[in-house]
Amino acid sequence: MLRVLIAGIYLADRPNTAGHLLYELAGSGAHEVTQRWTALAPGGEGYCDLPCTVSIKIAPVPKFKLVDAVTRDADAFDWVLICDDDIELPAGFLDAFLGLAEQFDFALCQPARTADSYIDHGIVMRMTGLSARRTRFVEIGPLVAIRQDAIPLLLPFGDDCGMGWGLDLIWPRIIEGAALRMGIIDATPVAHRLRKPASAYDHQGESLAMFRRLAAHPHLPRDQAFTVLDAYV
Amino acid sequence: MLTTHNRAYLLPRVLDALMRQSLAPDRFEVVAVDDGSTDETPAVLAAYRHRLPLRTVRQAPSGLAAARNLGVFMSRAPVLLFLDDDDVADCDLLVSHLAMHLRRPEMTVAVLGFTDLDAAIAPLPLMRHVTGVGGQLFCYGWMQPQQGLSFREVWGGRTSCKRSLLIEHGVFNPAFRFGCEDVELGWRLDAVGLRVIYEPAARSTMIRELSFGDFCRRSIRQGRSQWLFASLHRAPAVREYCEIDRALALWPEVKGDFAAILRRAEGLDRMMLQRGPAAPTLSSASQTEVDEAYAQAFFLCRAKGIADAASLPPGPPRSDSSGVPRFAVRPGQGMPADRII
Repeated sequence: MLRVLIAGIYLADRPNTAGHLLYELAGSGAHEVTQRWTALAPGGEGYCDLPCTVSIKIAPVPKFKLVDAVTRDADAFDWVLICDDDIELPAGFLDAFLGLAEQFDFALCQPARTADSYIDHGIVMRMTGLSARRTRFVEIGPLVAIRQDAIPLLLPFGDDCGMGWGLDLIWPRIIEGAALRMGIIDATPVAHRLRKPASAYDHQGESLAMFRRLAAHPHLPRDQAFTVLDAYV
Repeated sequence: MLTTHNRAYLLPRVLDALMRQSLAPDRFEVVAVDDGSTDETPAVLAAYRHRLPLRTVRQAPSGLAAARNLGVFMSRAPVLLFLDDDDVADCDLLVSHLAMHLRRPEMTVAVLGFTDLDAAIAPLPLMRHVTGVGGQLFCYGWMQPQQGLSFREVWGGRTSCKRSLLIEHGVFNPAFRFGCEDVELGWRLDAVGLRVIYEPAARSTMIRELSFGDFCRRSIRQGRSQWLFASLHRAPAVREYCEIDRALALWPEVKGDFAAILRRAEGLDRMMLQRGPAAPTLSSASQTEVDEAYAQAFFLCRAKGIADAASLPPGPPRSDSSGVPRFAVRPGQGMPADRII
């Protein structure tokens, strides 16, 4: 049975779907699932007592720094899933999603988003006529799956990764450079409609950090990243 | 970008025309998206794989908007031209679109080309009506070369745009399986400054004949899509474009006579077909009577589509949430953070 590590983060002081996610992901019948959730509770506000809560932060900490903190032993798992707290999953999500990821040999992947989700990049919207696509783009959220062979390539993110803007343009260079494949799974879409992405932090600061990050790392231009290389019915 | 569904019998003419382009083959590629065809479409496309710079991709049948989205992301070229599978390109079609984009390199500029009817179908009374005085299919009579147009003239099978415009600012809404998918995208892109330029030198020819029944069915589907368009975007300009209020006001009054109105128009259509193209020209009054019968029939079909869609229970504000039931988010009942810490 493959071992899966869920690295989740939830905002304790806002409506979220973390309880639903915990329940759905724990229901896997084909994977051994370890869940580690970090609660963000600014000033100690909110409710942080969900099962599998391993850490509570009362001061702002960038998302990917939190992910690093709970994935230090990531190489002991077959898959690491980084999960936000504002998505809704179809029943039986994890087994179906990872089954397709294995079938299409994706080392880095994510589920497509339903058309009624908040979507910044059209390429992540579900293509209803497909099971999956090999792409040059996997967005940094709301759910990202990293296979064991890609874990040492992508983790840890490092202290300067902040909220991760721009990583999704750097990842394809790394994944393709290692002769691995990345993609989006359309058959197991998630709904991302609870709140707008990036609604909880400083846009301008993140945008500046993104350009510094892109300047420092090989990356794809956006028009090349937003490309489907293969489609699977 | 060529999207196709069960038109294997037309594809050779469409693909042959792309082989005759004045634009060198190393300056373009054809991305063909097969929207779940069950006929010989895969074999026809395969036969052209080494004769054209052609890539093909297949999806389960999902409609025009979904097929076009797949094509957008499969394509690599900076300029995309959307082609229908019943339109034959003039040999200068691609170079004419490209020339206009070189002249107007702004990301927000799209180009509308000109489509004529094939000589074999141009004399047919219905085809002449829907591309002429009726204008229900397309109508260029009022346009001037290089005229700036609006979202209303983003006509799917004859429009080109920069790929970057779509990947940065929005793709087709897959809820539109047929009809309005192009204009609805145009409406959204209008908000970021879309400008549509008419370029009549970019010519194509429609080769598929539509019967009276075909056009009625098409109009009903168009009406359903117009209701969806107006439901998604509650702007007066959209409601007016879709003629929602006129349709909803008229339909209850005439639905009892709907079948009789269609039968009469179909009878006139049959009579016109039997006269043939060689018959003497109809008197002005008779021609007007025929055109009014067509116009009434096709508008009522659209009105039926709008009224049918309007009578359905309201769905989610945006489409395609299938497989993911909405999770009820409730305030937490657990232990406050400070107590855990």
